[in-house]
Amino acid sequence: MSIFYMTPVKGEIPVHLLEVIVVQRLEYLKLVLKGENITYNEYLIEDSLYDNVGHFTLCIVAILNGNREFLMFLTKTETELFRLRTNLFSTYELRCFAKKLLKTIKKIVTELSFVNSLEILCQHLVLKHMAKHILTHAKKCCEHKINIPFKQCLSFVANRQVELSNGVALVPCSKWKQYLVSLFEEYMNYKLKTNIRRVGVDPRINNLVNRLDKEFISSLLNQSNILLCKDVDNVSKYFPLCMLNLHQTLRQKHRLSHSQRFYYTLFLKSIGMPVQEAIEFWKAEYTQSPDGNHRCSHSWEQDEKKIVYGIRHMYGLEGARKNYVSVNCHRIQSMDNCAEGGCPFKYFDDKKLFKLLENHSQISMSQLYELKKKKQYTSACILTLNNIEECDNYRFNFTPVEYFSLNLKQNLLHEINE
Amino acid sequence: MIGEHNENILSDMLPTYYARQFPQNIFCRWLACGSSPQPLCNRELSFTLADDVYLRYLSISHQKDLQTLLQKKCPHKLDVGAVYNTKPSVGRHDAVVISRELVFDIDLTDYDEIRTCCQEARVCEKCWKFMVIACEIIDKALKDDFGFQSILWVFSGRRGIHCWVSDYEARTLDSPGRGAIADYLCLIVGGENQSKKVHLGNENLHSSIRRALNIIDKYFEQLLQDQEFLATDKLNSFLKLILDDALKSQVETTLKKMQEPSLNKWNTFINIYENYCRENGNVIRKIKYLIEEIKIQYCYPRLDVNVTKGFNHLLKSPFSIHPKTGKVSVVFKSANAKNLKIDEIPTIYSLLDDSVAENNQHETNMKAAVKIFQELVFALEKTEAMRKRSDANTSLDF
Repeated sequence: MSIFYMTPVKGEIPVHLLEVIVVQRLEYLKLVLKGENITYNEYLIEDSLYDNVGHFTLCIVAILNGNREFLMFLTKTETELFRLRTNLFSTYELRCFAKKLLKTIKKIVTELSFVNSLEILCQHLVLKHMAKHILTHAKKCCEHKINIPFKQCLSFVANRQVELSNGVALVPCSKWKQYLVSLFEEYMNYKLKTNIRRVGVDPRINNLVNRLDKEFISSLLNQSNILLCKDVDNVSKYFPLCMLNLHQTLRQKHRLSHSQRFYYTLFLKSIGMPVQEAIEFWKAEYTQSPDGNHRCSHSWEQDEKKIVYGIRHMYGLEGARKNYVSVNCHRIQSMDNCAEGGCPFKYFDDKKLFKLLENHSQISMSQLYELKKKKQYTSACILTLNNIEECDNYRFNFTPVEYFSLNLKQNLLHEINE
Repeated sequence: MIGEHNENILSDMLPTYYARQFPQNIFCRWLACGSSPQPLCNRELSFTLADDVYLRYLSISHQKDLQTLLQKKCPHKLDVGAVYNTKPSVGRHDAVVISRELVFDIDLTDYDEIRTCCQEARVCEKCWKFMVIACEIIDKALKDDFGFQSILWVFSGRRGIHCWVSDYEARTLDSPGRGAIADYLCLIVGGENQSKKVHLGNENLHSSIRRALNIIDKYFEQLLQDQEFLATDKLNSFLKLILDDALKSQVETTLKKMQEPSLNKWNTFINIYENYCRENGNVIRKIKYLIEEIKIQYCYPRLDVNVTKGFNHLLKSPFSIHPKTGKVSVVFKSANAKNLKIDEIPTIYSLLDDSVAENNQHETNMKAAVKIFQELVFALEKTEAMRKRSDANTSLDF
């Protein structure tokens, strides 16, 4: 058994014990998410039976439940746990870990290409002088390098953290630990896509899934309100800054560039705007001529059919009837070429950000700048909401829609209390 | 005549163009090679007809099909899409994308905030240099860093260039893979609301960035003279790239007094910067690569990353006619990008009408472009054949 969790252990276990193990693990992972120090827990001892059983059962529960946020939570926290554990490795432990993993890899039959890279890495880590070097070398050391096909280390490539030559990345020893963790994460993503429908037929497992569903997956606030196009200006004061910016830009210039129009339409749809209202909303803007600065060549007179088709497509009424999901913060923070949009906390000059924050006079600007510097843009955004209590669940899959729901809820409660 | 363009007569001229000039045979071979191991008929094509009618999910089984389809429909726009697990017309929304060339789209309108000679649809010799730089930088990166060999560069027909990478490794790259390559190549980050778009940190620069800067340096002074980035009315945008306030005010005071060309102002700026760094050792950390950041913001390629990341994006076909300009989307060699002159690019009028003055020159250029396309396709076919043979050999190993 290994903390890389490549093979599930075989055996029998009483159901009530299984439940305890899984619930304990879930609570522990929540602490890991909060960034608290890793402490002793009898159900999570490295290389132990309970640890292995807990991991795989929790994976099963997540897959059967299907909630996207839970799946992301599990990947993130298990990866973080792995990182914390491997950080504490001694030379001996690192070598044992690598040796065990090499044995497992030789036994399994797989087409997974990243397993090759894992093998190469472990072949190096198992060597005594290498393992010792890894634990003592300088932060930017590149004394040793391994050759990995660029497809196997995409996050390094995307951030230009490795040199490339002819499709091969030269991963220096200073990045090996980080690479090991990213391989763990990739393996997690792979595991969580496994088809295990047969397991879901077992009523004991179903029980477990339901119980965890109630306990962990707090239902997102139900937006059963319908948003009419005439009310958007009013309601915009509850928008997150990214969407508020798009709204203001649209009102001012009467046009939005392609991606921004796409994101804003989906946002309005998710907060309750029906398709007919959406068509009216965009018509009102696109029948006006674009404000000088905007180089959009579309107009309602010429392109009505195209625009309406596009809107209907986004509502799942045309073409592939795809159910578009409104974009999340992570995506908005990854739009390098964002034209007039993007996450204001990341992509806007201070002056422009300040202007958008006009109605949030109560927030601490110094705290905001601190978070900006640390690149915690979502946390910076959440600062603009009052009274945030249980926000941990939202932090890694925060979306503009959730911001809006929370903000609206807070303000309604505030009004009720007044 | 150059400059005379009438979209209405396109419908009359296109059939002749498709029959006589458009390299149907090589085009089909390029598509077939790039579709393998899937058959050619699983490749999606799309047509836009005269009255903006859009036809998707088209495909062909051999060149004859293409010939017939082109004559029958006479498309004003011809786009190439992805390879699916089934004939696109059969699978439609449910078809799964199997492969697709790795593509890049660089459009001069993304340089509008930088270029001073033209805006929007206009393009001239001066701003074409941005495309030359972009082509050189990306071509080198694709070859040296990623090991790609089958790289096709195409003029987009009006104001940009497209790049198609047909190597097997590139075609079978999934979305995260394409995203990673796009992110690797992207240095200019931020939209309208951000003035300073390039931040290089203060650690050693990645070798691809150094290489890009070397390429930029070959053209920078010329570009500075052509574009006059530091002209009085452009000075404020330039100053916004300097985040250190003390340095910024020094530069501002000195440059605003100068009545000289941008090149002189630039050299003055370099002097001020170097002195400033010498005298203020503690701030050098924050402005270590200021010069490089500025050069990159002015000259580095601005990619439309959505085109690269998207798997089933439909992109204009090489050698199609641009309906708004009549120009042919010719293939060119990356090494020859600097010699490409916008006026010398063949148009449907000059090719089909021998009374036009440019007819001879344009026909020559057209033939040369088709030859380059042909060479690339031959090389691709050879590589694919070798790859299939070695695959077959390995599968026989016991």
